[in-house]
Amino acid sequence: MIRNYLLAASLIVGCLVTSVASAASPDVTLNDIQGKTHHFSEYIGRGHWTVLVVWGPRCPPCIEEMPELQGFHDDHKDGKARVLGVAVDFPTFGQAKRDEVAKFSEDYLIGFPVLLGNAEIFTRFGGAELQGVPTTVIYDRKGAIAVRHTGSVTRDMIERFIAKWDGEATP
Amino acid sequence: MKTRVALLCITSFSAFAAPSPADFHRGVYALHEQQIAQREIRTEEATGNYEGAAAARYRYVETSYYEKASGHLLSRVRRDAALPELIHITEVNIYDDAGKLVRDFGSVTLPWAPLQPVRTFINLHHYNGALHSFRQHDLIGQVGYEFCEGSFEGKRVRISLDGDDINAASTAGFGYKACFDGMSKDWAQYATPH
Repeated sequence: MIRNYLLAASLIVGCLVTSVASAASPDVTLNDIQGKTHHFSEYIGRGHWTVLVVWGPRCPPCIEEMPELQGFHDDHKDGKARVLGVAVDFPTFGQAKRDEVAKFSEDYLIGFPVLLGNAEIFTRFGGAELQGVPTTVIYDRKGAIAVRHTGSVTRDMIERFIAKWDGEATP
Repeated sequence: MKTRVALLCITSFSAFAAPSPADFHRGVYALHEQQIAQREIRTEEATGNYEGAAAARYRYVETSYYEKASGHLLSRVRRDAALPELIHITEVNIYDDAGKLVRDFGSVTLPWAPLQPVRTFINLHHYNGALHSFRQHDLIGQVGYEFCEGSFEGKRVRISLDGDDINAASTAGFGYKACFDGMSKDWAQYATPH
């Protein structure tokens, strides 16, 4: 019986996996784990790609994909792309807990910026409701959403996606 | 059991206030806990990974709970492997004093959003001679599936109808009335699982 429900679930997954939008994201203000306020305009639409990952410190796949994201960020932060993390509480998707996020960032040596958010505010910069975590939103060099993806990503997936889009944009 | 994909839509429903899907999810799990607390139990456990882009890297532990005395499967619970307090799926079977399955409940969430079920069901079972049938309702009462199997008037009967296929023609077939005419339609009393 359970197998059939998962079949149903997997069909729903297919609807969620990836959606592409082109609307630019409005500016949003969030705090980091030190309590300092940041505007999204500090991170997106500044001539480089921004890989924004929405994650929860207790979400198992989020934990597993962190090294992939950190590796990608380390390789590209001075060039074509950067990673930005927005933490939410898991599983409620409510406001991220600062202490929990700070501990996670320290334990996993997160070197990219991490802001504290929730599902409600995601709709303002993610272009849709938050369906689950992890969710990745990739903003192009001009700050428009190029892709939104619910589920884990790998460094290779991001590399290939950006290379393809950069290639397509080249005259 | 065959099921139909249906996202829950809260629609108006007169004279009945259904619990929220999240309440139902908790209610099915509470019923599971209640049943196993009252009986001597044997369990079987399996682990697995989900497939699909959104579910990848989520893992689960699925435990089946059997009543030792009767061997009946009382419930199956699928928990997040890393966060076992997160219940992905709960199924609970209710048996009568004679050991017949009379109703079963289920609630299914997606592992990446485990508080809101995307599938809820209340199955009411019915027996007529050598026929066993059940009808599947969701939390707003919509019939999603009907099943009947056995024999009637010396002939084998097997009916399996998705909600969309239940119509005048399909319900006029041999055995349908024998399977379903005596079945209770009062699914609403079980919207709070018990």
